Amino acid sequence: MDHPGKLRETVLGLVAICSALVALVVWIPADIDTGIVDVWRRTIRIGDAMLPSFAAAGMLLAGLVMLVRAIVLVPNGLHRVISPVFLVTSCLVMALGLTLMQASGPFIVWLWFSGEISYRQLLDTAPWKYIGFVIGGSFMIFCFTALTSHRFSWRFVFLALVSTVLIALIYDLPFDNLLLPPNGDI
Amino acid sequence: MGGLEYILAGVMEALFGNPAIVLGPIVLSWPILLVALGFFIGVLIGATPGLSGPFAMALALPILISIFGFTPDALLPVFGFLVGVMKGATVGGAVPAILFNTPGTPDAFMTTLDGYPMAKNGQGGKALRVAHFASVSGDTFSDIVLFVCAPFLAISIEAFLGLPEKSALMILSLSFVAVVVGNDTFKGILAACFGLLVASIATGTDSYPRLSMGSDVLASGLPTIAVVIGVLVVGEIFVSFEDMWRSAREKQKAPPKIAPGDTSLSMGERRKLLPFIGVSMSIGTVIGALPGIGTTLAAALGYTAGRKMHKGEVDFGKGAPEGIAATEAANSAVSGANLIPALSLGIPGNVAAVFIILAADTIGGFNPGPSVFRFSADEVNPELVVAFALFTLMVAANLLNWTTGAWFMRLLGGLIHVPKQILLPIVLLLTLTSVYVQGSNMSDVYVLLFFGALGYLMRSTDIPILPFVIAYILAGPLETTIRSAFEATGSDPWFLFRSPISVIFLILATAIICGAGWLRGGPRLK
Repeated sequence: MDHPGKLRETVLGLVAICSALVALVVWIPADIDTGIVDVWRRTIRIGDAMLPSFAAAGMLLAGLVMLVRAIVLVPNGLHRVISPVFLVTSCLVMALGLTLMQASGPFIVWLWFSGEISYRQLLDTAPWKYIGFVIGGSFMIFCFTALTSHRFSWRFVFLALVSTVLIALIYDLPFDNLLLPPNGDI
Repeated sequence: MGGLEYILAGVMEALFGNPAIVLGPIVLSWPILLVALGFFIGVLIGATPGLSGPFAMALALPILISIFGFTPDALLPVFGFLVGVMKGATVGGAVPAILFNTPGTPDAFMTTLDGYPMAKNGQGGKALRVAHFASVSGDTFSDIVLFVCAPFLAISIEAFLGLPEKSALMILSLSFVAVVVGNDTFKGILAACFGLLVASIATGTDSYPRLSMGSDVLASGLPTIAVVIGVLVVGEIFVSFEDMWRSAREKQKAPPKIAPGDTSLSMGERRKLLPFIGVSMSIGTVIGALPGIGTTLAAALGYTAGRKMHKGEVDFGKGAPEGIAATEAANSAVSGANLIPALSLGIPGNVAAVFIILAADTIGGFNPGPSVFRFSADEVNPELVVAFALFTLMVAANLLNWTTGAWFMRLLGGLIHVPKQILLPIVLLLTLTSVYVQGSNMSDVYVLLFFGALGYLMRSTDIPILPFVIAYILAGPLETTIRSAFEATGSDPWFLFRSPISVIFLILATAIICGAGWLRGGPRLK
């Protein structure tokens, strides 16, 4: 593994082969009732397993070639470098943002009304219906802006808040039938 | 109904079928209104570095479907918007390429080579006019080829190809896309096969939704729009985030903004550009008609052909208007021709065609493919009326482009300079919201993010995205055609090899796959 990209190509080939084998040996037999061909009222017809089996076989073939090539040949081209720090931070921002979006509305309503009125009762009432979306959305926009700029700025906070409120208004004001996230699930 | 009556019905449907504003005898229909809206948004998006037409299409499609609903009346307004964006983004990409040396869209890269030197010499306005003239000429030519070729191709396919041949043709098209998109044949095949596998989830003919693993979310099927937008748009946003995150420490100086300067383009100058435009738009149209080959290759080939023809005072690469014309005519001619396989075969050739097929699939009432162009005299074929209405909308977008495009491009030169660090997080939230509002279900957002992560990983490992998306969309029609062909031939297991035409298609598919590695040179031996 002395060439950059060689390890990645090998792993990629192995992942493709393992995924294809899992699909062919475990997933397709266990989760499809008909076979590759199926007999129904004495008529032979193509079963539901045909398409996924051919797709998995294609993946297996492509993965095998990629693996052999990674071992025998020197990979061409430049690869993007995946940064684990960026990946973990992005996942955290998305997870926190979505949690804030879903939980902050009901929590603030519960706090404000001391538990006497539920968020569900206020789903169609401003400003309550915007709270979760604005808090969670602003958080996401601010974090990604700060992350990609490598700096904190109150201007980013302001921009995130204004743009999220604008997005909420764009979707909510003209259209009665559209629900902002997460109001359709509550 | 005769052919002329179908054309007339399509034109009337587009212009007057769904009125939005009626002022006495003047009627402005929703489709025309949305063509205009889509066009101006498209130019704006195309002119903004970091954004591209697919972003606008991805954001707008769920909202438009939510507004107009799932009725046949929704088809033309949605198509109108998508067509407007497609054309606007193509022409808009040249603005930052010329004025800021930053291509707004990837295919506008070649435009920077001559556009920016012209702008530095005080001829930015002239360069914009050249780009607009070449772009709109290429686009119009490509549309005319589409209007003639798509019905002809579809009628030929209906007349000469049976179900086994159609199955083989789909396999050939899919193999072609898998092989030509991206840099690696086998990664393309991997992406296409993975797309077919994902498309198998919760579909099929059995009462049990296959591969759903007993999950209620999977049993109702993956939301197609969330899957496609996730892989195409969210994945791209995260790759851009990572690139910006990595390069933020390197202080990048913003390119200096240059005043448009001389904005005139005389008839004589236009006449001199015509040979370059003619050659490049022919190249772009041929490239565009082949599924999967993008505008970037067309622009590169058009530029190379133009350089060979050029005998002017200013060399290519040093501010020659002919260089801009050659590039813009080629990349703009791809967009119309890309719809030839989409409309006549149901095979999307590029991202814009993916969104048009996606809209048609989601709304219903129009199934792109050979049956669309069935000129039935006894009964009205509503799909053919929609097809001619779509052509009318494309003509309307071109007219809008000819009349207002150049002015709008110059206007945008002073407006666009929002940093990507601020723009892309907003686009991400807009995308999440757009997908959510269509189904009012957080599980759609999770599917979007899952496929966004997949798109990010595929881009990071150089696995092409388009074969995945096209295979995902084509899987349903491919399986249905193969099932029907198998049953129609009396369950003959060799049905794909009985006809010479289907054998030729399969041999071509094999040859393309085997030949691609050799043509590309492939990896080196140790």
